[in-house]
Amino acid sequence: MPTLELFRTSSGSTTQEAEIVEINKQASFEFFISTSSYLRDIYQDSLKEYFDSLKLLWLEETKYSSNVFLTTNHPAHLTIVQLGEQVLPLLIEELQNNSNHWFFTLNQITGVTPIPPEHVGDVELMRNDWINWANENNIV
Amino acid sequence: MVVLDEFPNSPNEPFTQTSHVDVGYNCIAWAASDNTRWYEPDPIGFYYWPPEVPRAYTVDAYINLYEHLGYERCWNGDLEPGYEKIAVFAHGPIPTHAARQLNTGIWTSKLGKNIDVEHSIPAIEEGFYGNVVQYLRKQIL
Repeated sequence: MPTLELFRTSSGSTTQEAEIVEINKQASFEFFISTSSYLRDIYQDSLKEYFDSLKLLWLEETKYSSNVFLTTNHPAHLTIVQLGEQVLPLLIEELQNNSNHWFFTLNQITGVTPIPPEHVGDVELMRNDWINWANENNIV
Repeated sequence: MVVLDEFPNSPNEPFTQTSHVDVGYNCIAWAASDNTRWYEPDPIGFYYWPPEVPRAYTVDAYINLYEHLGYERCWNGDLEPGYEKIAVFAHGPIPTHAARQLNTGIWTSKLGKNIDVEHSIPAIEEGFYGNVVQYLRKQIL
């Protein structure tokens, strides 16, 4: 696929025609991605693979820590948060299968705190609170 | 015996795994003999922290937690009949860990989201959690 570089002028700027082509190319690509279940599956697979690699690194390097301020500022965790709402199903799946501390990750992505005061500190109840929230909001 | 890279003294000191991995409680709770909750003064309030104790990641706040639970500050971790002791660890100003002394004189710790271990104080010191900054004790009834 031609890139914008081919249309770059000697002064380094791009022509108006080239910019229009680039915008249309991007729009066509996004349309194609969103309507292709095959490409969507490939994207989801690569997202899960990336998430899993970040998850393993984060869990390994924070497993002895009891300080969420430090653990949530780990680079792998910050990257997971930056992935945003698209990883919510993966986080909920993690909670369902592995019962780990994804509460702050979920909070940082959604801004939600679905934990009633009587559940504070009880990891199992907090896990169920987040799973229920995900079910109610069609996350999974 | 178990050897963990994060605790460089562990190969040469008593250091034994005593549980499987359990994410349901942490060292701060375990030192207070609670294996049902995670104790931490996180800013959102997801984790348990008594409302009477300052919600801060400071050594003073962690000492205040155990004072609130009936412990008093003491000078050392020597076994004293009739008392249960807790050791609070820190890296500089940041509290990192707490351990509880058993009636044999050995100490028990939960390592974050990971395993429980029984150990000497030197086995944990100079590693991932830094060093002991305060001992506390409580009379056993």
